[in-house]
Amino acid sequence: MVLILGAAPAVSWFIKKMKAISQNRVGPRFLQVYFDLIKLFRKGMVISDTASWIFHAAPYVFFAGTIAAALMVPVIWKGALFGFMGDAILFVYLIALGRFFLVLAALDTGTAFGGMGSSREMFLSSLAEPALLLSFFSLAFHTKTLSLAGMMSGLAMDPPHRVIFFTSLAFGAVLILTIAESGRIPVDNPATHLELTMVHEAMILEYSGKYLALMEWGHQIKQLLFLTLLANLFFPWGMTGTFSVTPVFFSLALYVGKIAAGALVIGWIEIHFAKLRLFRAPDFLAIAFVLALLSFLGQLMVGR
Amino acid sequence: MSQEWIPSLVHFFGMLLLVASFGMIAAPQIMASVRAYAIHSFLLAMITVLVALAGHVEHLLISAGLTVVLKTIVIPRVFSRMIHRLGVRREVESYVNVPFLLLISIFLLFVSFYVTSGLRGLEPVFSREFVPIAIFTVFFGMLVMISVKKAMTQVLGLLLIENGLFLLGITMTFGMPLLVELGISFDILVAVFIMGIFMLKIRGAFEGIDMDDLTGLKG
Repeated sequence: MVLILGAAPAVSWFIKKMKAISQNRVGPRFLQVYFDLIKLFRKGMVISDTASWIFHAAPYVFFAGTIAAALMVPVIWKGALFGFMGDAILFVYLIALGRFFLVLAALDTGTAFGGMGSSREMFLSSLAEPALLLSFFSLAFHTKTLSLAGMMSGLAMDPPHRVIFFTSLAFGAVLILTIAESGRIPVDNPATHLELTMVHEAMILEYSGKYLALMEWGHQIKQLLFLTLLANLFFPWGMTGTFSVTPVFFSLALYVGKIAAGALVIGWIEIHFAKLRLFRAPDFLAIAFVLALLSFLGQLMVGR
Repeated sequence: MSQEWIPSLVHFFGMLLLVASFGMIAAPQIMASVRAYAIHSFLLAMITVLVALAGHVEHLLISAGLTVVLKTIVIPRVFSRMIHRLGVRREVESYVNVPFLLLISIFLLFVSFYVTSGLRGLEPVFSREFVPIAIFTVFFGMLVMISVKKAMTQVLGLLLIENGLFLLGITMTFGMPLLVELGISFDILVAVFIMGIFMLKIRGAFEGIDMDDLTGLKG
């Protein structure tokens, strides 16, 4: 839990640094991302006169929703902290709740950019959400449970070749969704404020100071969360069930390795691909949807 | 190879086969969908090898080799040469857009599931899992044939139907006798060449291989 909170900016740093190195720049220092957040937390806020309570509530709801979702994902222990509370469906909709408030807040101030950003976000998420649910369902079919922790330990007990062969399509779908949800390049460009391309940035354009810090941090946590899903659902080995020091340390190291590998993949994609035109992005997400659906159908076929 | 690997491999290849066929209509360029066809045939050959090893039917290995040589190497070559000679525009043009095509094909997949789940009388000698996929491939080839404007992709659709029938053949009855198999392969090869010549003729007559122009032939 604390691990996710703390490590989320580090993942962003990792991708940024990788990109910078590939472009022969030096790139930010490791602590820079934390300094940025601290700086934002200290700054005063400029809030539009027309903003209503939604604008004030949205950063908290977004942040809290993301954290609540984070609590349901096992990270290095087999059980999740709040695993008893809900399952994969709740996870999807906690993420969706945060997104909903983000969109509302962007509409709230009545700027052109906010509206544009939120319409785009909704446009993309209407494709991303069913795909995410379908890939969860296909894993749930395989492991006969809907809770994320149950899925992970269920998959971990299977022999490796079965996991890799049966879940490869869902893996592809979730990989694409990770890129889309964390606003990475083929779908959205996190490093620009160009009006033609921005999606996430357009929505948080009105925010400053503390609220912006919450938004940024929440977004980074979401990114790490999806990477964690990717790592622990599809490579579910090495999570420990006990609290003694050596296994915990071992599984922590393994987790860091898995996340770093995931971030490496995302960074690689970001370096090697150009951003898609907005109206091509649905095609990209449609691939995720088709993969998820195929994997779901495949599970049905096996069950027959 | 141990026995327990086989169901996972069957599933894996079946899914990849579906992905390759979806790739054929999602591909933005003709050459890309030809390549998707090559991958599709290659996976088909892998499945044939799997069936051959699992069911100890060694003559299937020969037809797997034949599939690899003919469908993943020779036919894509022929196609790429044809594309160069015809100078067709590189985009695939279809009557409906790609996401809608994908939806239709998902619907077709459901249909082929539904249709084959009732087939209790026929017991396939190999995995049941390939039967709906084979039926789907046949349906899908037809979809490719009717949805795309260029004559080139229609030939691809025809070849896809043949792939589907081949898959059905090897899972239902361990394939046809080798002699028939050889004949079919030769047939396919000749068909591709003839259709290539045919397309050149169409191009000569209509300045393009757009199927819409053929309606001008009606009296």
